[in-house]
Amino acid sequence: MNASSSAVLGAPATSAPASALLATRDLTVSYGAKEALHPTSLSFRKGEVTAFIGPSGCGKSTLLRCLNLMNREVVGCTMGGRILYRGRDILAPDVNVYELRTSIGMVFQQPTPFRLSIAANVAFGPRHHGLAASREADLVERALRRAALWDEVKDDLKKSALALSGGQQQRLCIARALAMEPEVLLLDEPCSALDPISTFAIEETIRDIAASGVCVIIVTHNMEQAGRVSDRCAFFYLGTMVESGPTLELFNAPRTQRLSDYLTGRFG
Amino acid sequence: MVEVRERVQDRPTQAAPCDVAIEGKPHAEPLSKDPIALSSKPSMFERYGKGPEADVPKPLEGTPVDVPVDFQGLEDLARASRRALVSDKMARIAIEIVAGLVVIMLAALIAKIVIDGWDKLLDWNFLTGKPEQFKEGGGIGPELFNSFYLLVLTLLVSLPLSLGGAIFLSEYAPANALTALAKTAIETLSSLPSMIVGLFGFLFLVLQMGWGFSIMSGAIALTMFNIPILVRVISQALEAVPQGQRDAALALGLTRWEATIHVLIPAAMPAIVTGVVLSAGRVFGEAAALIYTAGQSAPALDFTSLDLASPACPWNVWRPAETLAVHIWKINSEGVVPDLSAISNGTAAVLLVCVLAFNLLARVVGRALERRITAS
Ligand SMILES: Nc1ncnc2c1ncn2[C@@H]1O[C@H](COP(=O)(O)OP(=O)(O)O)[C@@H](O)[C@H]1O
Ligand SMILES: [Mg+2]
Repeated sequence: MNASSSAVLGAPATSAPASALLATRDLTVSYGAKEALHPTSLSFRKGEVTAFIGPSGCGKSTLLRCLNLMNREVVGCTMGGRILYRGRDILAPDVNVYELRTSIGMVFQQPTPFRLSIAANVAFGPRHHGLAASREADLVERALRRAALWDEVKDDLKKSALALSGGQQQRLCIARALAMEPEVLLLDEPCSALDPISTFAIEETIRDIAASGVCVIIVTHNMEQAGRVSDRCAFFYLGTMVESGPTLELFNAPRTQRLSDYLTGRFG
Repeated sequence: MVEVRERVQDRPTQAAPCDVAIEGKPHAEPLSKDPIALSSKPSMFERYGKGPEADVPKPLEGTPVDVPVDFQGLEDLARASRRALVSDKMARIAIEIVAGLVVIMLAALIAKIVIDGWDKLLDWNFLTGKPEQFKEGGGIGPELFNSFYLLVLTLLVSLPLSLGGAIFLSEYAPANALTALAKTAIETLSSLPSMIVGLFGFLFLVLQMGWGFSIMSGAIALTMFNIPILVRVISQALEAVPQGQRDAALALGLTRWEATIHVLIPAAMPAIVTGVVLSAGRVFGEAAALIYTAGQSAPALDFTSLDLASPACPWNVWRPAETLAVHIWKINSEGVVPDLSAISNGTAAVLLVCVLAFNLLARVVGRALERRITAS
C-alpha cells in the first residue's frame, strides 16, 4: 500500500524540511465566506505525537480534516495554502484523495464500527483495496495487537463489532485504520466519549503506534492527555494557531498570555 | 445562596457583619442583631447556632460549605415529584388501555377473517381450482398466482428504481430547491389515493399505450403506486445511518459510491427490508389500482404452457389478470355464484394468510441477511 502510494505521492521532498513527513504552509480553511482557520504552518514528523489543543470551536478538527482531505467532502468548505505530504502539495487537483487516505488514516470522536464482525471491520480497508484473503488473518491479528485489543477479542473475531464496549470499539477503529499500515494517523478527540480506563488504554496505544514510526496527530481538549501522549503541541484560539512547540516547553513556559491563561484554566 | 457560601470562605475571623449579603441582596442598613428577622428562611447563622459576630469555623480548603437548606423549596419539589408520579401512572394506564383496545380489535379482526374462511383455507380444490361464473364450488387458483406474479414483477421494477432514487436523494442530491421539490413530490405521491393511480393507468397504459387490461398495465400502475413509498422508506433508512459511518468509510479511501454500497446499504439493510415488506403487503392487497389496469377476469392457467403469447400461459404479461383483492371486490359487487359469501370469506382469509406469511418470511430473510453481513 505504501509502496503504491509512494509511486504517486512520493516526489522528492523539496519544499518541506527534510525531517517533516507532513506539513502545512499558510493553510487556510473557510466554510462559505467564513474563514475558520487562519494561515497555519506546522510540520509533523514520523514517530512523533503532535497534539492540537484549544477551546471548543477553535478550528482543531477543521485543520485535522484537511490533512486527509476529508474537508473535500464538506459542502461549502474551501482550503487555501499548501499541505505537503512527502514533499508534494496534496491540495493540487490531480492528487487522488482516495489513494491518499490509504496512507493517512483517521479515527473519529465517536467510535464508528461498521455493522460487521470484528475481523471484517479490521480487514475492511485492506480487503477493499485488494488484499488477498490468505493474508487476511495475519493482518487482522497484527492490527488488533497494535491496537492492544487482540487479547480481549481473539476468540470472538467472528462476532459483531457492535457488541464491543465503547472503549473496545474505539480501539477497533484504531486497528481498522492501522490495518492499512498508514504513515500518518489522525485522531479527533478519540477518548472524549470514553471512561478513564479506556482512555488510558488508548493513550498507551497511541504512544506505541508512534514508537513504531507512525506520525500521529491527535486533537484533544484535555490538557493532561496532551501532556501524557504528545511530543509536540499546537495551541489554537479562534481559528488561529497561537503557539506550537515541544509539549513540555509549551506547558512549562508558555510564550503567549493566551496559552498561559488557557493552561491555568482561565478560559476554555 | 452561592454568594453566601463564597463570603463564608474568604471571611476573615473578625469580619464586619454587614459584609454578608443574604439571598444575593446587599443590605441598605446595617444587619440587625437578630439575623433571623431578615428572612423567614433559616439562615446560615441559625445553622451555626451563633450570632453574626461569632467565629464561624473556617472550612477546610476545597470542602464545600453547607449551604442553608431551603425547606420551602424542598417541599415544593417533593409535591411536584409526587404529582409527577401520579400523572405518570395515569398516563401509563391510559396508554395501556388504548394499546390493549387496539390489539384486541386487530386480533378480533384477524380471528374473524380466519374463522370465517377456515373451511376454504384448508380446501386444496379452492386454492388451486378455477373460479366459477354461475355455479358453486369455484376456486381461486389463477387469482392466487396472479397476485404473487404481479407482486414479483412490481418489486422487480420498483425496487431498483427506488433504490437508485433514494440513494441519489439522500447521498448525492445537493441541498437546493429542486431537491426539496422532488422530496415534496415524492411525499405527496406516496399518499396518493390508489384509485387515482388506477384511473391514470387505465387512461394512459390501457387505452393510450394500447396495452389493454393486462399484467403489464397492472404491474406498471402498481410500480407507480409503490415507488414513492419505497423511495421514502429507503431514503429514510439511509439518512438514519450515522454520519460517522460515511466518514469512516471515506477515511479508509472508499469513494462515495463504494461507501454507499459497502457500508451504508448494509447498515440500513434491516430498515430497508422492513420497508420493502410493508410496501409489498400494500401492493399484494391492492385492488383499486388494479381494477382498471390488470382487469377483472382470470383466464384459466395452464402451467405446462410456455407459449408467452397464449392467454393460458401463466407468464404471459399481456393477459388480463384478476388478483385476490380484486376478486373479493368483484364477487361482492357483481358476483352471482350461490356460495358467494363463502368464496369471498375464503379469499379474504387466503389474502390475509399470504400477507402474514410474506411478512414472516421477509423478516426471517432480513435477519439471516443481517447475520450474514455482520459475521463474515
Ligand atoms: N461543516 C461546517 N460548516 C460550517 N462551519 C463549520 C463546519 N465545521 C466547523 N465549522 C465551524 O468552524 C469552526 C471550527 O470548528 P471545529 O474545527 O470543529 O472546532 P474544534 O474541533 O476546535 O472544536 C467553528 O466555528 C465551527 O462552527
Ligand atoms: Mg472538534
